[in-house]
Amino acid sequence: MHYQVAARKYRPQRFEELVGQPHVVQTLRKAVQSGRLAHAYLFSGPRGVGKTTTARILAKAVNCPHRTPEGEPCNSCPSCTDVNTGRSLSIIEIDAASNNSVDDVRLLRDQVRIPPQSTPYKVYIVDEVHMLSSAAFNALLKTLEEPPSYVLFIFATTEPHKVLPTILSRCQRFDFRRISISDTIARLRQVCAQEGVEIEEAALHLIARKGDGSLRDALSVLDQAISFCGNRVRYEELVRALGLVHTDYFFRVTDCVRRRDKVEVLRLVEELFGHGIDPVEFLQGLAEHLRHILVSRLTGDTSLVEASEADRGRYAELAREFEEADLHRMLHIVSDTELALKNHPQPRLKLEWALVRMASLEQLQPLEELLERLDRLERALLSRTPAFSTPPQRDPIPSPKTGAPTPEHNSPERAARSPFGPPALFEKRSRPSAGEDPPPIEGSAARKTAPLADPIPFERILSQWPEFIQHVREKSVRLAALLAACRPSRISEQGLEILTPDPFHQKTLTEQRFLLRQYLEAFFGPIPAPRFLLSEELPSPEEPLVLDPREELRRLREQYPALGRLIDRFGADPIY
Amino acid sequence: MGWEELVGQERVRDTLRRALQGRRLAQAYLFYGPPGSGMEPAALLFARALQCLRGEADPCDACSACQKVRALLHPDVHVLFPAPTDASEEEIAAQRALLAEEPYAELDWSRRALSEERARNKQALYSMAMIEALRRAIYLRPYEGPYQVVLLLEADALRQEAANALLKTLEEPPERAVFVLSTSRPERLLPTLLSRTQKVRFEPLTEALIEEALRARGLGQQEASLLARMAAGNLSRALSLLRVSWSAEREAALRWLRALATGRRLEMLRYVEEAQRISREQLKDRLQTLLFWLHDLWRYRIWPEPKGLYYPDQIEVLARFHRNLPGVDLEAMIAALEEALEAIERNGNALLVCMALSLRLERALRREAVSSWR
Repeated sequence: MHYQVAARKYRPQRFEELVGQPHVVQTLRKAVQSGRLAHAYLFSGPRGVGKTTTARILAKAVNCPHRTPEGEPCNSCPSCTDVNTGRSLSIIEIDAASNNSVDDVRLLRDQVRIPPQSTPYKVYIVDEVHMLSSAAFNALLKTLEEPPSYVLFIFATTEPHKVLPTILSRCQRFDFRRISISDTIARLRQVCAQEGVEIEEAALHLIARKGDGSLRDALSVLDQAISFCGNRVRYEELVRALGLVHTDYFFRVTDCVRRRDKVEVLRLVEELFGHGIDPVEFLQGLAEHLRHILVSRLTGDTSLVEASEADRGRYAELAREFEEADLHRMLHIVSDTELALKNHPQPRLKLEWALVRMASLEQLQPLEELLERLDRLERALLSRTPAFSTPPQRDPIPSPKTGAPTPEHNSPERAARSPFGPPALFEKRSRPSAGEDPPPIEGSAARKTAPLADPIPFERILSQWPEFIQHVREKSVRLAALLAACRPSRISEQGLEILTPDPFHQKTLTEQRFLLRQYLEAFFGPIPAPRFLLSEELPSPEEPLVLDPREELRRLREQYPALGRLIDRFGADPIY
Repeated sequence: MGWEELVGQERVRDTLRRALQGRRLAQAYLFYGPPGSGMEPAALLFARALQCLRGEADPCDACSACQKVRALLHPDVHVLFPAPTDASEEEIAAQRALLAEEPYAELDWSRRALSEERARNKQALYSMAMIEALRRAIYLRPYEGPYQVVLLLEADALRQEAANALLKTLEEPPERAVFVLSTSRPERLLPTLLSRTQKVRFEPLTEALIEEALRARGLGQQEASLLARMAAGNLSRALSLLRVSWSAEREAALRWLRALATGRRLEMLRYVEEAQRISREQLKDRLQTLLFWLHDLWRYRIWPEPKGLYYPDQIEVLARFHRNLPGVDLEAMIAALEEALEAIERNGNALLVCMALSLRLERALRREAVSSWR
C-alpha cells in the first residue's frame, strides 16, 4: 500500500480509539445509542486533537447498519468502508476555507434538500468553518436552524471565536482538549509497537513535549525521528535532529554570568555557531533554563522543575547564587533579544551582545527592599519638625562594607554571596558628599512619633496666605504663581490641605512639596505637611481663555468699572 | 551531481535520502531553517530525485526528467514563490530563470527597478488565485513523472486565506502528490498548517562550509573567507554580496566613522547626502557594513583576538581606534545603528535617518550621552 504518515495511517476509526477526549466520546456515543442526535454539532479545539476524526467516526456511526451496542461503527459494511476510502455519497466533507463564499453555501443549501440514497443520514462535515465569510454564515442560518430530518451538520474549527454567535447558538458545541503528555506517550508507544520501532523512554518524552498538546504534531515529530534515526530512535540523535541545544551549554552561560567572564561568553558563542546552532532555539532553551532557576529560587525546592535528577541538583545550587530581580532582568534580556532576532540582520551579533550584557549586569536591589527604604525616607521627611534652619545632623548612612547594624540585606555575608559583588546602589550612597545630601534617616525617624509642638491655628494660615505667597514670590515666581490659584482649606490629620484648581497644579505642587514645606515652615513656624487636593469650586485660571469675546468684555467691565465707564462714554466695540 | 550540490546539511540529506529510498514519503514536508541555509536547493533536489527516471535516492542528473526539473520545466513539478501583485510576467520569468541557474540565489523583489507609477515596492505574497490554480492542477494525474511535486518557497508569505485554503489539501492530498514548503520563519505559519507537515530542520551553515562553497564558485581564499564571515551562515547572502563591491564599501564606512570622530562635518554631510541617492537595499548594506565595524570595535575591547571578528584582517585599525578613543560608548552607537537600520527597513526617510544617525554617533564619539529615539 501507498506509504502514509503516522498521523494519517493511525487515524482512529472507532470512538474507543480516540485519545484524551473522554467527555466528547461519552456524550456522542450515548447520543448515537439512544438516537438523540442534535442536527448540528460544532467541534472546536486546538490543532491535532481529533476534531475531524471524531466528526468522521460520528458520521459513520449514525449511518452504519451494523452498529455495535456501544455505538461504534462496524468499519466493514459498505457505508463505513465508503467513508474510509472517501467515496461516500451521503457523507460530504467540505473545506470551508476554500469554499467560503455565499455561492458555495447556496449550493450546499440546494443539495441539502435531496435526501440520502441508501443511508439514514446525510452528514455534512464542514471543516475550518471559521473561514466562511459572514455572508456565507448568514445564508446558512435558516437551514441550520431547521434542517430536514435526515441532515446532520458537523462543523470543525480551531477558532470558534470567529464563528458567528447566531451559528454557535444553533449548534451543540464540544470543546476538545489538548492531549496530555501521558496520553500522548501512550499513543506514541502503541504506534511505535505497530511500526516495529524501538524507542527510548526519554525520546518518547521529548516527542510528546514537542507535540505540545497535539497528537498530530507529536506523530509528525515521530515520523521525523523515524526518518532520521531509522528503526531505533535514540534520545541523543533525536536532540540533534530537532536542533535542540544541550543543557550543558546553558549551565555554562549562567556560570559565565556568575563569574562575569565576558571573554568566556564570546568563546561560548563562537563554539555554538561552529556547531550550527539555531540562535532562536538557543534563546528559548536559555529562557527555560533561567525559568528553572527562578522557580527553584521562589519555591525553595526543585519539585516543579522538569529536569533530570542531576540537573535538579545543579538548579538548586544556582538558585542560591542568583537574586530574583537579576533573574528577571536576564529573562528580560533573553525575551527582548529573541524578539529582536527575528528582524536582525546579524543574529550572531545580537546573541553575543545579549550574553555579554548579562555578564556585565550590576546586581539589583530587591524591589521590596528599595520600596521599604523609600518609604522610610519619605516618612522621615514628612514627619520632620520645623528646624530647617538648624543644619540637619549628618550621620552618614552605614555602608555595607563597615557592616553597620542595618537590616539583613546589606550584610557583608550577602554581598560576598552575590555573584555581582556588593550592590552598586550602596556604593554610591555610602560616598560621603557635602551639600545636598538627602536628610538622614536615623534620628529623624525617631522624631517622627513626637507630636507637633505647637500646632498653628488654621485661621492664621488663611489670613496670612497672601503674604505667604508674596514671600514665596521672592524665592520662586513660578511656585508663587501656582500657589496663587490655590487656597488652604483645613488642617486634618494628614496635614495642611490645600485645594488646587486642576490636576496640573496638584501634580506640579505635589512634586515640589518638600520645598514648599520648607517655605511654609520658614514663614509660619511649625506647620503640618502640605497636601494638595483637587477642588471643584475654584475657578480654573485657564477659564477666561475659553470665554467668548463678549463674555470676556463683560467680565472685564465688571472687574474694571473704569473700563465700563469709558466704553459708555465713548462707545466702543470689541474687535476680534 | 546529485545531493552533493547541497552545501552541508548532512542530516537533512540523510533524512531525505532515507525517505526516498523506501519511497516512504510524507504528503507534505516543511523545510525550515535560517535563510540561505539551502532549503530551496534541497527542495529542488528532492523534486529531481522524485521525478528521476531511475527512481533511486539520488537523482541521476542525466535523464530527461532530471534535466527538466533542473531547468524548472518539468510539467509535474510546480515551483511556486510569492510575488508582488504588480509583478509582470517577465519579472517572474526572470526570477525563475535565476532560480534554475543558481538554486542558492536570493529571491529578491526589493532590488527590482522601480518606475514612476510603481514608486513603492509591494509586498511579495501568495495570492488566492495561485492557490486555487494549484489545487486544480494537483488533482490531475501526473503528465510524465510518477509524482506531482509542489514546492512552495517562502511559505511564510502564505497569508490567512491562502494558508487556510491549503489546509485540507495538505492534510489529505491526492495519492501521488508531494508538497514541500520552505521557510526561514516557521513561526509565521498557521499552527494548523505546521501541524500537517513533516518538519525538516536546516542548520545555519558554518563559515567553513560557506567559504568552501564560495571557492567552488571561483572565489579567492581571502575574499571567500571574509564574505563567509559577513554572510553569517547565509550562503545566498554571500552570493548577493558578490554583486556589490564590498571592500570599497568597507573603506567608505570607515571614512565616515573617522569623519565623525574628528568632527569633519562637511565630509560627514557628503556621506549622508549620498544616502538618498542610492537604493534602499544598498543603503541597508552600507549601514550594515558600519554595524560590522562597530561590532568589531566592541568585541575587540572585550577580547582582542582576531577570532570572531567580521574583519579579522583589519585588527590594526581596531587597535588604533581604541588607542585614540578609549572609553567610547560603543553600546550606544550600536543601538543607534540598529534603530537606524530598523527605520530604513520600515521605509523611513533615508536622508533624515542618516542625518540623525550621524549626529548620534558623533555625540557618542565625543563621549556625550546619546538618547534613544523612542
